[in-house]
Parts: sequence; structure tokens; C-alpha cells
Amino acid sequence: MTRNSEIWRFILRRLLGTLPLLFGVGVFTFVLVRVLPGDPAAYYATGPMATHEEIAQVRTTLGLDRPLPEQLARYFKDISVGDLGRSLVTGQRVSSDLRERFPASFELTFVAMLLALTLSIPLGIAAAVRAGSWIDHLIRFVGTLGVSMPAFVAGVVFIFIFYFTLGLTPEPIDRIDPFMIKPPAVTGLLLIDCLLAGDIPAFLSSLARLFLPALTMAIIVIAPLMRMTRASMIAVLSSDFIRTARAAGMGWWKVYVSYGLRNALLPVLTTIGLVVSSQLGANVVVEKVFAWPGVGSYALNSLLASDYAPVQGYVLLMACVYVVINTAVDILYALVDPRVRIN
Amino acid sequence: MTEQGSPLLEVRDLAVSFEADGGRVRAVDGVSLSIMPGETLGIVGESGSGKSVMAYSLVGLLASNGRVDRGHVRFEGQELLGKRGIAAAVRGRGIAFIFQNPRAALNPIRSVGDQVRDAIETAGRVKRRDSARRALELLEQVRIERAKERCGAFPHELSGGMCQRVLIAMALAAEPRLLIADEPTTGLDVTTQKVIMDTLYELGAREGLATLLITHDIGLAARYCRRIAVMCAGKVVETGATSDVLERSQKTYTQRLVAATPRVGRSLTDLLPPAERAAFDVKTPNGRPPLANAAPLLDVQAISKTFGIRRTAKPFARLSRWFGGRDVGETAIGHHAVRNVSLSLAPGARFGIVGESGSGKTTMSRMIARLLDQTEGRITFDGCDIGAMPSSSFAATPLRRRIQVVFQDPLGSLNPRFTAYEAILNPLRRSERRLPADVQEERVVQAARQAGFDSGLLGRFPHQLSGGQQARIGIARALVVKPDLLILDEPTSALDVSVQAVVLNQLSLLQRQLGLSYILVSHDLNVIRLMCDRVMVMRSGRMVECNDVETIFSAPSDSYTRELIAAIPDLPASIMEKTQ
Amino acid sequence: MHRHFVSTNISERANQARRVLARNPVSAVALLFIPALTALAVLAPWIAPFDPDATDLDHVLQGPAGLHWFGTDQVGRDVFSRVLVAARLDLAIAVSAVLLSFVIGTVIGGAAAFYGGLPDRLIGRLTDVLMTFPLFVVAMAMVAALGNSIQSIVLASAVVNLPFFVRLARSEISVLRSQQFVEAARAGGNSEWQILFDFMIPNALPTLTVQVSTGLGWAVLNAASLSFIGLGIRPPTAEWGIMVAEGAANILSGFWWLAIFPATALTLTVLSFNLLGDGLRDVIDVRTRR
Repeated sequence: MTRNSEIWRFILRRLLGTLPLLFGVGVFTFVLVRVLPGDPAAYYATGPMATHEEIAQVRTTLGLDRPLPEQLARYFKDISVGDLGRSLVTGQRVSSDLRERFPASFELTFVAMLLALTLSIPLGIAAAVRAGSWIDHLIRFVGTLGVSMPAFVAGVVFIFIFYFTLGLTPEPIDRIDPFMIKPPAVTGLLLIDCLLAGDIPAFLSSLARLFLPALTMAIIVIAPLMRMTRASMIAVLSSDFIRTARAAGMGWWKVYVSYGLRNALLPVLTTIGLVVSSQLGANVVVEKVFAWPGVGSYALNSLLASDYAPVQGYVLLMACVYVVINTAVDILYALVDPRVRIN
Repeated sequence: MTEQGSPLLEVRDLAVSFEADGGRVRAVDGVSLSIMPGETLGIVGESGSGKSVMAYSLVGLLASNGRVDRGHVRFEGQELLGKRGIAAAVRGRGIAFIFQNPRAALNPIRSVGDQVRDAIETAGRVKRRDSARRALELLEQVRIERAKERCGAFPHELSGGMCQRVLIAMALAAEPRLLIADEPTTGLDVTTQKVIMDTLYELGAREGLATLLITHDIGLAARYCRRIAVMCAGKVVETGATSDVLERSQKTYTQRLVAATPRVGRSLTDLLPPAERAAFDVKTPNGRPPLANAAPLLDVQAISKTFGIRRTAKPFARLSRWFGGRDVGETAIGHHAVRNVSLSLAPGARFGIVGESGSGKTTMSRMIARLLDQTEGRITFDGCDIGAMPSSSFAATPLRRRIQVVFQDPLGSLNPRFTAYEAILNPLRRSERRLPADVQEERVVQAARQAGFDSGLLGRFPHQLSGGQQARIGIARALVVKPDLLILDEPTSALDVSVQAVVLNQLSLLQRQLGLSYILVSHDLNVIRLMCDRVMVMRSGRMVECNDVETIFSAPSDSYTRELIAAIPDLPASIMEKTQ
Repeated sequence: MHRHFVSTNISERANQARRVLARNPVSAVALLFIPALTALAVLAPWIAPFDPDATDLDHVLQGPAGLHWFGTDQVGRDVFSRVLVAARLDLAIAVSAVLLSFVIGTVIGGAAAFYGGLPDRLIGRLTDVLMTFPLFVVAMAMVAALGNSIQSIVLASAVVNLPFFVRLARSEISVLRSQQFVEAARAGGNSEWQILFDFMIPNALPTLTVQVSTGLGWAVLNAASLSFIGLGIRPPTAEWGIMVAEGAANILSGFWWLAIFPATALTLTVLSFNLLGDGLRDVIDVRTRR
């Protein structure tokens, strides 16, 4: 078996392995809406003022009077073509609402993750190299503090400090100064669109507004990432193969970066996959605090308005995002570490 | 550069200490020695003697909580300690290392060939293009077959012996003058051990390499080293030519160490220092009389064990094969751990099973102990067909207490949450439920005494005790229920040689006093020879031969057995006669 | 038991605890904070200086001074008393939720790993599916489905914490299954149940206890976050999340004490539980790293 075919086999196995997971996700979201209070037919009807006949008609059209297994099958058929129903509040199809708002959340979460990694990995390495010293304790304490502060507390506190007291960041409403003209939407990601249009003031404005919510989301995950980097680094530094590398006289870079860091970052990669879940959860709260027009605030507003189709679509979307990210993490891991490729 | 006749490496009054929970611990306390170019020096000592720590400190490889307190180390005339960077410069180029646990000593995510190339490029003299060729050369030099193919392999795909050979290749990459080998063959099979040591010896002789061999195995040192230094508790007890130190030593510690090493011609009590022999020289057994001309106690017929049987229907077979990358066919596949083995034990018998890793000896012992179900075959114990009783429910039967096991890992086989007392009491409580508390206590204390365990320590937890004491708890635990058959699974392989001597003697005494039968499973033929009357040699799940111990040793009928015996690093015949 | 062989365990544990606390002074502080907080929370109704629900429209939005240590809110209620009573509520929710998820999760996960085979894999899969959803969102949906009450928050928090215990119990028990002392226990005549209770669970408890500690922190965080976004507990009940939500609206007008005090109390509580968990984890790592 050649190396390449081994890798391809693993990728295929992994991809196929996500199918039962996605099936479970579908079943769960199906149950979700059936469990939420109210009559499902009303959600999919044309509006809140629908009459009894209209609702009854919608019910038969949607097959809600059919046995559950049939409803489930129908549900899967619908979501596989992207039909997630219609929102009562916006009146639009849920799938188009989500498509419209997704880039905002994606940009926020991506930048937050990037920020978190840029901070936690170097700090984790520093804590590992100076394990046991006061620097180590300080770094770990700050990390734990970050994870102990609920997202909404952090958001409120940051707004108070940076906006209200220090006046460093702009008002926490929307992604860009409301008086500025948005650049043409190519990707939907404001930062990239601004750069593509060459509009530097808009770029700076959106960056400034992105900073606080991204920071809020980042501090929640800095602690687990840093803790894992630290533990992993400590384990690797005291491992036998590092000793062999040193004994063979290999240089600093080869020993600590090529041999050391590459091995140490593997568990961190797995941790990234795991913390994405808590990031997505915090996303809802952060988007509310900063009035960020993403899918999190969309879902929350819908939930509070008893508009359940968007909630179902949102939950489905988030679960799929998680599955995609974790599959990518697993595949990336397998590319680096040959031990996981064997069955 | 070294002048003619001056030592390659000279160590003077070296002292190393560690930061531990209770304060600083002296690991090396004033060690002095020297090695001439091309010479092989063996450093022999038991665990805790400081031999590995001393070696690491020579080139600055100590762990972060270690510190060199004082001393001088001169390599080729240059002082290594003191200025930073000098030791680092010498690593790999002047002094090379190979370690214990070869697979762990290699980078798991980098191919073996790449790692050898890294070592070559460190020396700085070879260009990138040439390093691949040189790596291949080195791998062939250390006798790795199909070296070209193996270059792209990862450490987890290679055996322990092959990993060690890769490490040797890496060590030789920069053409060092001194090779330090820290327990290079511990954990490897005896036959692999011989190949590795022979390779090292040959290469050493050819390249004019000096070798510092650190080992706890005196036989190994005797065979491959011209000079030996004996270390104990951080100090060098004595140094000298191998034969001088092993045959004519005046130091008590060395004498004790040499005496405790099991080998041809020695009896069990010879392993102990003279003062302690009397307690074990009990000739007449008391207690239960051996059952004369009775039916066999244990009868195993054509037993087999196959792991992982899977039957795949034909349409899926191709698909599964492509996915799993293995040959998954229609019929049963799986790992044949034991194939068609039979044995028979008379009451009071002392039976040994010997084999290397993968031979199936552990699986055999588990099946006889009813901890694992056999796939085929019958097992009869004292007339009862115990093979028919599934292992999951055997614990509830009254026969459970009659077959007991002493496990290999002294610490790992004890529940960390039980004190020694509770650990020994546990089987007694399970087998004899109505016993009043004071009788329980009596039995536990008696079992502890039989195993040689100090009853004052019964309130301690396993991690508070030494390896030897932990092993004794395991033995006491097996004895407390008064079994008929004892299965000893490598009971002393994790112990120091001097502790092993005592434990083996205790076991032998117990066997005579209580009329026990036992099956001793081991990879160490010398131990089997001392402890058993009959032995079965196993290889790859099959029985190779089964005979009296003396016949096996003097006239082995199978070539594998011969190979096994030849691989044992034995002390020279001249030492046999010495009875110190 | 036997008098002579009472273990040296107690003094050894005390020494070890002393050493760990010396190395982790911050954990020591956390260790003191939690009982103090619990005492305050339990006694809250009796020691609160003012009635937490009593409005006083003459003393609206007063800063911290004199009688009102934490100031008053927009309808004149004493913030300090409200923070105290909220502690009681949040802790009660957290403890109930974690207790529920600990017991059920450990039993399910432990049993799954113990029996192995299909049930084990099935439970593993179910846990995986549950964890694909951002758990906070699951809590949100549950509370919306079950209605705004304390019971629904407890249930939602328990469900969200459950997969962590199941996964942890599963991994601990499956590692223990292959240990040699478990095999030795079988040879000693212990039945499978006896092995589970005498040999496996006591050895899994330390790691599970760490999870309980951090779980308590998360449960408090969860409850507060849910109330913040308007689900679960509704005003005028005194609860930290609600207080921060109400305070957030006022913070930009300069009335910082409405939000900051409950936010600090919340953060300190969660922090203490997390630090306790970290400290416990350090102790366990040392013990297992022999």
C-alpha cells in the first residue's frame, strides 16, 4: 500500500463516517421542532394571521397529518434540497436568510479563532518552557479567568472599558460605520470585500468594529487551547525522541521546532475542533450584545418571537459546520500523523 | 586530539543531583572512570545506581531538574563541563548515544529514513543529495533488510529490534569516537538482543569505536565488555578487567551481584549470599504431603486460541478489502495466538513455559487460569472439565480459588486504592465468605509471612512500597486462598537481580512446604532452569518441544531451542566454579 | 476492619495537599472562596440587609454608598441584597443540574464501557451526535420548549452537561478495564459487578470529580447566559444574568454598578470552580505520573 493510497483511503473512510452523524443530526433537529410549543403548521403557513382553513390546508400540504416516519423521510428530502421552510418574522425563505447572514458570523468566528490561536499558542509554549514558574501560573490564571467570564459579561465589560471609558472603539452596532457605504459584496466577508475594492477607510472601520466582538469570543477559548498547548509541549519536551534528537547533536530549530513543535501541535489541532462547539454557542450571546447581524442573532430573535423554522435551520447549519470543521481537523491530523491512518 | 595512550574519555569525581519532592537527591556521588580509544567499558548496576544519570550528565542531556554539582569530564583532552555549548558541540559528532525503548526514542511522525538523514546532515559534511545515499548505506550497515523500502517506513511500522538498529545508524551517522549505549536491549527478545549486540560489537571493532555499555545484565556485560565498572547508590564500587571483577572481586556488593545472576551450574540457594541461605535450605517438606501416583492435576488437550475471527460475505469482501486495506476474505481470519498445544501436569509439578514475545505463552497461561476462553480444546483440572466453564462465570465457582495467578507487573497488578492488607484479603473474602474477622486477619498475616512480606507494612499503599515488596503482595494474595495450582507470569522480570534471587527462593520454599504445583511462564531460560523440572518451548503459538529441563539444555532437539539457548548471554564457564 | 492496619493514608494525603496548595496559592484561595460563597448563598434570605424585591422609588439609581453597598437599581432595589439572593438561586440550579448529569452520565458511560460491544458503540455515537450541536443552543431550544421556569433551566443544564460525563466515564472505565489489577481481581474471584464497584469506580472518581468542579462552573454560566438572553428565569426574579442584562442597558448612561457587581460575583464564582478543578487536576496528574 503506497503512502498516497493510504491517505486517500483514510479520507474516504472518514467522510463516510460522517454520514451516520449527519443522519443523527437530521433526526435530532426534526424532533426539535416537533417538541417546541405550538403547531408546526402555523410556522409554515403564509403568516401569523392565517385562518383555520389555511392552516389545515398547509398541514395537509406539508404532510403533517401523515405518520411520523413518513414525515421524517419528507423532512430529509426537504433539507437535502435546501428547503428549510419560511420565517414568520422576515417572510423570506430560511435558507436565503441564513445565506445572507452567514458571512457576518463566519467572519466574526474566523477572526476570533485566529486571534485566539495567535494568543494561546505562544502563551502555551511560554508557559511550558517556564513550567512551574510564576509566569506559568500567571498565564494559566489569566486563561482560566477568560474562560470563567461568561461571553455576555466579557462583552459588556469590554464595551464599558474600550468604548465608554477609553473611547478606543466605535459604537457596538453593526459591522461598519452606518454612515459609510459598504463595498460591493463579493464574498460577503466585509474585510476581504473592502480590500478587494481598495477601500481602506471602510476596511479600517469594519476592523475596528470587528475587534471587540472577536476578542470577546476569543477569550472563551484561549484557556482550553493554551492549556492543551502547554500540556502537550511539556510532554513532548520530556519525551524520548527529543532526547535522541539532542543526543544526535541536531540544532535548536530542528529539535524544538521540527521535531518538538510539530508533534506538540497535534493535540492542539484536535482541541480546535472541540472548542468550535463552544465558540458557536457563545456566538449567539456575542451577536446579541454587539448587535451583530449574523445567524446567531437571527436565530435568537426568531426563538424569542416563537418563529421556529429559522431556529431549526440554524441548528442544522451549526451542526453541519461543526461536522465539517471536525472532519477537516481529522483529515489534517492524519496528513501529519501516520499512526492514525491505520484501521 | 588524543595522544597515544591517553584516555578518550576521562571522568573525575562527578556528582549529579536532582530536585525532587522531598529536596535534592544525590543520584551520582563522586564517580571516576576512564575509557581508552576503541575499548568497550561496561557499567553494571541495579536500579537506582545512577548509571544512566551519569551517562546523560556527560553530554548535558540531564532533565531540567538535574544539576551537575561538581566534577570534571574530559573528552579527547577537552573539558566538557563548565562552559555552555561545548557539550552540545560534542553530541552526535564525538559522542553518540543509543537508548532504551527504541520505538519511543524515534520521532513518530517522521519516516525512519528522514531521521537518519537528519542525523547525517547534523554532522554538516554531507550535502542534501548525498545524505539520502549515505542514509541507505548506514541502514544496510546495521543489517536492516530491504533497506530501500524501509527508508520510508514510520517507527510504529517496525519491530523493536529494527527501531534500535535505526537508532544505531543515527548514532553512527556523524562518525563518533565514543558510543554510549544505555540499556540498548532491555525489553527486546533474547534472540534480537544477540543480533543487536553482535552488530554493535562488530561495528565497534571495525570503526575503532569506543563503547560505554550501561546495563543491569551482568551476563551481557561479561560477554561484550573488556572492562567493567560496578555502580551502587551513585558510587563506583570497583573497576577492572571483566574477569577480575566477576571472578576475583573483593567487594561484597559485587560478589552479591554476581552470585545473584542466575546461570548454568548454579542452584537456587547459590543465588543468595551465604548468610541468607540457611532459611531456604529446607530439605524435608512439611505441610501437605504430595499426592503420590494420582491422576494428573492439570490436563490440557489440543488447545487453540484465535483472536478477531470475522466472517465477511463475498459481496462485501472486496469492498472491505479496499477500505481496510487488508485481505478480508470469506472465511475466518484472525490472529492465531495459540495453536494446538497440549500439556499435562502431575500434582506437585514445577512446569515452565518459555518463549519470546508473540509466542503465545501469556495467552496459554490466561486460558489455563480461566481468565480467557479457548477457541478449541479441553482443559481438565483435578477431574473437572474447566474448559467448558466460560471465563466470565468462573469467578463464582468454588474451583476459582484452587487456581491462582501471580502477575507480571508488580505495581500494575495491584489496585491503587487498596492497602496491602486489603489487597491480600480480597480473594479470601470472595472465596470464604463467612470467615470471622480475626480469622481473616490471621490468614492474611500468614500469607504475608509466607511470601516474605513484612506485616508491619500491611497498612501501606502500593505506591509507597518498593518493587520487591509489591511483588510479594501479589504472591501473598495468590497464596491466601490456599490454591493447588499457581500460575506465575514472569513474576520477577521487573525486579532487580538481587531481589529476584530472594523472591525465587521464597517461591521455591513455598512450593516444597505447601506441596503446590506451579506453571512458571518466562522468557528467561536461566530462571526456568532453576525453578522448573519440565519446560515447554513455544514459538508463534505452537509448541516447539516439551521435555525435562536438563534434557532441553543439554540436548535440545529443535533448532529454535538451540538458537534460544545460544542467545543467552552467559557468564564465562570459569566463573561457574567459583563459590564465593 | 483491622485496627493494626489502619492506613497511613490520612497523614500522607494531608502532606500532599499541603504541598500542592503551597505550589498553587491561587487554588488555595479558590478553595476558601467556595465554602464562603456557599455559606452566604444558603443564609442569603436571612442576612440580606434589604428585601431584594422591595422597590423604593425615592432612592433610584444611587451609587454604592452608606447603607446600599452595591447601590440601587432603576426601581430602587438594593443591588447587594439582590446579588446575594441571586447567588442562592444560581448555585441551587448549578448543583441540581450537575448532580443530575453526574449521576446519570456516569452510570450510562460507565455501564456502556463496562459491557462493551454494541451498546458501548451506540452510546458513543449518540454522545457524538449530541455534541455536534453547540450545547448552549441546545439549552436555548430546550428552555424554549419546556417553558420559562427554574425546572426547565435545571433540566436543560443537566442535558448539556451530560455528554461530558458520559464521555469521561466511558473513557476512564474502558482504560481501567484493560489494567492488570482488574484481571487480578477476576482471578481473585470477584464478580463483574464487584469489580466495577470496588476496583473501577474508586479509581475513576478523581477524574470525575474534576469534571464535577468545572461542570458546576459551566452550569452557573449556562443559567446566567440563558437568563441574559431572555429565556428561563424572567424578571423581577433576582438572578445574575438578568441583573447584568438590565444593567447593560444602563451602563452606557454611566450607571455601572447595576451590571458590574453581579458580573463580578458571577465571574468570581465560575472562576473559583474552574480553579478548584485545575488544582484537583494537578494533584491527580502528580499521583498518576509515577
